Amino acid sequence: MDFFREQDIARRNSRLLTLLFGIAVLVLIVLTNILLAGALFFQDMTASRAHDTGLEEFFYSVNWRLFFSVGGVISGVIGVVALFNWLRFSQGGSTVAEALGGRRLPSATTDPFERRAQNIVQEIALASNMPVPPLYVLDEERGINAFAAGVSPADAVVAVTRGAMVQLTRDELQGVIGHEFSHILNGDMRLSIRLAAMLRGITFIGDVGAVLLRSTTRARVRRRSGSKNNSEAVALVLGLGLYLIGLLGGIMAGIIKSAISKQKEYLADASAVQFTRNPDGIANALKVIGGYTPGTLVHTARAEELSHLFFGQVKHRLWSLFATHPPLDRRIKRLDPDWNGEFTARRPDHAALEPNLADEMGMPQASRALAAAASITTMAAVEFQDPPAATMDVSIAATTPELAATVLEDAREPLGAMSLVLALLWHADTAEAQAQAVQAAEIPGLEGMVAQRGRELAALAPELKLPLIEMCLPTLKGISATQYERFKRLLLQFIRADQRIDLFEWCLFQLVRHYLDPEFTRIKPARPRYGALAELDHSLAIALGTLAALGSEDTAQAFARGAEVLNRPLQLPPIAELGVQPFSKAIDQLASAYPLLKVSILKALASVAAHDGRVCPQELTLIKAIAAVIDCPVPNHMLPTGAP
Amino acid sequence: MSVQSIVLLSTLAILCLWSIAIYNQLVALGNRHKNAFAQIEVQLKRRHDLIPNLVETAKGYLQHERETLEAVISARNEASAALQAVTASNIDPGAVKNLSGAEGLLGSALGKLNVVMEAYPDLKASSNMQQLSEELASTENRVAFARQGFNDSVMGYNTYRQSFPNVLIANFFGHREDASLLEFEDSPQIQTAPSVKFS
Repeated sequence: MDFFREQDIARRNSRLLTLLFGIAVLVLIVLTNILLAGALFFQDMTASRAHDTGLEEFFYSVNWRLFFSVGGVISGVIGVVALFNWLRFSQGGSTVAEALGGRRLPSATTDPFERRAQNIVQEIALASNMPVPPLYVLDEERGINAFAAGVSPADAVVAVTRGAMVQLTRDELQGVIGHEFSHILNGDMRLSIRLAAMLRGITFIGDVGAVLLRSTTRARVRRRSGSKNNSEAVALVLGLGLYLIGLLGGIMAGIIKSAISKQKEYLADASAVQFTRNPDGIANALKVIGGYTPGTLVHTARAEELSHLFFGQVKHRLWSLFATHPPLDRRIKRLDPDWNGEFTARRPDHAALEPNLADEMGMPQASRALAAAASITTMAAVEFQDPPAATMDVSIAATTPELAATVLEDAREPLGAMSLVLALLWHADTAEAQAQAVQAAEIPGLEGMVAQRGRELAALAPELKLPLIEMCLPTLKGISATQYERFKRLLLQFIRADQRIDLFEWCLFQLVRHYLDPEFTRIKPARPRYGALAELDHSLAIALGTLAALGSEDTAQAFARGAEVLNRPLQLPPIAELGVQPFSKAIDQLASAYPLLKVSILKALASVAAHDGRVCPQELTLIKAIAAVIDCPVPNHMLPTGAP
Repeated sequence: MSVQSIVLLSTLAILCLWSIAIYNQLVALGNRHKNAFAQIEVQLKRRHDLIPNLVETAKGYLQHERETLEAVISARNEASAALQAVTASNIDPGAVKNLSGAEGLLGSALGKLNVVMEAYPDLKASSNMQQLSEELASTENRVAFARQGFNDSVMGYNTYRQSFPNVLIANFFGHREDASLLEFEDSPQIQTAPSVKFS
């Protein structure tokens, strides 16, 4: 690949497109101006009613001074809106990286992966002749992605996901980081923020039109007069025109903006080759991404807003016209023309994907897990202002020391973790059927373990079940996809062994499913469908009712408290109708609510649980499971206080 | 003031601003490639500092390879002295030639050590050694990238200087000469294929 030539082409293309973008903005301003001038002219004319309408007449009577001053005002308004947005988004790189959940790597890190990434950043800084930017890592993200942020090289930062740091080889990571350096060097962040700000200015015209349109139609309905009001008609046409200009202009400008962004990606790919002189590095990185189950997805809430910064597409896009990145295979083809179209399959290395924070804090793993288990329960106690729970004996170790040691050990290795989760579902009455299921599942080493653990855990205090599950889940990420498949089937067989599903079983299964499914299968996130709580009344009533019936002595009052927090007139469903099945259906519906609603739903649930001043472990487990299902996981310290 | 003089004056002003922009860009590009040269020196020094650690770590495992280790140390000392001579002589071409010869020797001594280490899995597996070899790999890259970065920025400077109309302004304001690319003094060695002898 002749990377200098590729760079020239990409630079020329993006310059042309930027010019086109500028022309489009100008044309839009002129169009808006003509529309406004026309509206004023017709209003004048209808007021005087002196002449026939005619295009010639129009040109003669246009007051050119007015025409230009109107143009000035429009450009000024667009400029102000654009400036406002520019100021809003052009924060320093470190602010952006931290907003996306990045952790700044200390320069004296000892983790070999972090060390390697940091060395690579310094190497590329040399190759590109730039100052060394700080490196951030997104610890929670397992997709392979990276971004550069900041509007000038001086405040730029580079960030990589944990997935990219661990899953890529040295050469591949070098290619990815070289790509990001190109974005810094070419000032791509500055350009894309500018374009986005301008785009906002254009859509602002449409917003004004929409407001005008709505106000005039409303005024009409209110008056319902037969008399034709000309100025009203003009306002209506004006509103419609502005709205259309804003809409079409927005679409056009959006397409141009995405085309520019794509050219910048090609440029960055070619520059990565220039810096590393190794086209295989970045081409292989792209191939690995194509074959990697989590792909380039980044889950952080703000990632979409900043998608243009990333190395790969952050979210799946239906319409590639608006995508910020060219398709993967086209990027690879440019780097490696002889590519046979096959991606590189690389299995996620789960052990390395877990950031080793415990060791950094100088805390051994086991005591950290214990502390976590303890903190979960105490935290709940404190947050819910619950005096009796505060005296609850919190650590597994304190209740039964000899059990604690083996359990903690088991929770840290995959087979043990599987047996522990299954053991929580073990029941003496159905032991036979469950033992058969384990044998049929063909997971070597599991037989015997489950029954034994089941007997041991039968006496486990209910408040320790949730911490135990939470300890097992990270370990379970380490099993293979087929093993997971079998484990999940086994889990279902265990749950159905007694021919009925109780609430705890439902919670356990949902927690496992929502925590582990993204590891082994590609998940499409649920599309938000419900924008108002009113649409969800039925499901909300079932969810709150189930929770109220579970914990409180005074079900009706606890339920009323939740309804009050949501500010909805909900009816408590008859207790007999509350089963696992309708409950599960209700929660599935809640999962399609808009994210902001989910937070208030969780708040309402918490207040129901805390109504009697006591949060029992079953309630806590249920809330956690619901949070997992509706994809709005809440860390313990975020659970709202339920003070009545 | 007549219309003509206004047009004339504004054209002159625009031309003036344009020349200033071109001149500033020339200065920026020129400084960039000078900085790039300083980086090469820094990275060579970094490599010289790393090698004693490497040898110290390897010593415990490589009791029977004293010769190889000593060769590395002496090559490193020579290269380090040559680098100092270059800095002292203010980049004298002869000293640069000496330095690149010494660096070549050091590179081949390190290569030999690497081959020897292949036979000692314990050594390769030790976390200390893994850390060191990551640092060394990174340093090798840095030396190469610093050279390459220097050449890239020289190319950028020359292309900018030679293109029209920049070339007029460059010649007028003292950017008359192209910067020269850094060439390997050991190019003949690189170009001949390595010979393998079986004896």
